[in-house]
Amino acid sequence: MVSANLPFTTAFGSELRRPFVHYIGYVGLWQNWVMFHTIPHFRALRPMLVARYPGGAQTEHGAMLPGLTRYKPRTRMGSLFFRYTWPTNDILPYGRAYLQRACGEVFKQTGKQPSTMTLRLDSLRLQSLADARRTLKPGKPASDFSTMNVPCN
Amino acid sequence: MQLIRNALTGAGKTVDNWFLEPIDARVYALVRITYAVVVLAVVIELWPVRAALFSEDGMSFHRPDLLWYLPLKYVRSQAAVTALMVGVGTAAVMMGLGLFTRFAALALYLWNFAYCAIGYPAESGYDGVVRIVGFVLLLAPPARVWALDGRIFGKGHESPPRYALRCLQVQLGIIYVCTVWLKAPDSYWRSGELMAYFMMSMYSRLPVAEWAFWGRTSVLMTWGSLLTEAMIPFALFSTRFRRWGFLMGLALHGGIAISSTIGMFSLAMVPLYAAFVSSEDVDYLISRYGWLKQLTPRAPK
Repeated sequence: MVSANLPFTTAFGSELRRPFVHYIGYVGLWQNWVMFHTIPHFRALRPMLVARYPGGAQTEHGAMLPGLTRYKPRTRMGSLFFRYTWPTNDILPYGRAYLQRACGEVFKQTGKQPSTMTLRLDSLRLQSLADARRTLKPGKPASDFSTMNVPCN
Repeated sequence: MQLIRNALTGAGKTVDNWFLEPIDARVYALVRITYAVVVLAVVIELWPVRAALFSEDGMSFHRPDLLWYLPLKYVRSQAAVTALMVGVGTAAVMMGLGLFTRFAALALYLWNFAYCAIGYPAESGYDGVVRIVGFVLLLAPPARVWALDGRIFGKGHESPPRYALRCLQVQLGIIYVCTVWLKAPDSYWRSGELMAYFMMSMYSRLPVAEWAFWGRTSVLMTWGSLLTEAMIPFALFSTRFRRWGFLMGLALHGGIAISSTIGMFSLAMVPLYAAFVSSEDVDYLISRYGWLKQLTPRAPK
């Protein structure tokens, strides 16, 4: 329990955790209690898949697989799309697999093979309290592209 | 030399007593039942997104290095994922009823481990809580009170050692200490603005801009929740303030459940709180709610 919570960021690096890494991995006891350690940044989300084709054309699709359906707000799925938009190293293989699968799904539905696939997170980004007081709106529209852009071949 | 030997013996006895002293088996039963309810709630929560998160047509990744003993390594089609989740729901009901409890505990623990590994990008904090409670219950002593296993296999220990409950208690302490440690240096927590932003965000049940005008309310809520989180583990471990610990936990997690969309986290914390319940608390509840008498045997002497 304690070893799973030792930070990597001290001068010890991962040395303090190393003796326990296998134990934690094999019994699934990883834990991380970073929960709202700072403010949330979004009022609402709308993730979209963006398929790009040779010649510069692009199409947009619902981000949910299977079926390329539209995202319905769910806390758990919201977290997933945050992590796919700004992936850390441990998330990258999951995100790439998702985008690769999206390539196949777009081809299945449209008959056209995209050249690349990425995710765009349309959102209402929370305003500062001063701006919210001034505009009487908690959020303003924003759009962020995922740092992953996967080739479809 | 004798002094050192005596000190070591004394320390050993204290640790032994703290970790292995006999405890009312009904407390284990309470933890088991609340855990079963939580797992069932998570299964219901995951049900609409099961194909998206766990099937090979979905949005996650069946890592090739996935451990061989995790069921989702072999379950990939949408129909198979659905069948597995029906099985998990059944195991959760069995766990709640105390029917083939050890088997049900193993199934639920492996399920949680597997879905967190496959659906790692969608993992929430409460999944970790559920997984840890499941692991500890798997290694807990058999306590067949309030359980159908008691009728099938005999009553078992009426006063099992409390080591598994101690593990859960320490885990609860770690959760709160870590979260306060991480939050306290943040400028929004310190300025008291955090709750205003939180209540305008996608996690709020009432995300209106008016929260930006309620500065004092935000400061009181922000500092109040930080202070409560810091105090809960100390109160729960203290004999004198234990019930205050329960009340603070109820206020904190009840507030989260009512005001936000992350009520599942509040529910997931219940088995950890149940680990702090005493024999006297169970007797009090039974005396207060007469119908419980029909279900419960007396506390062991």
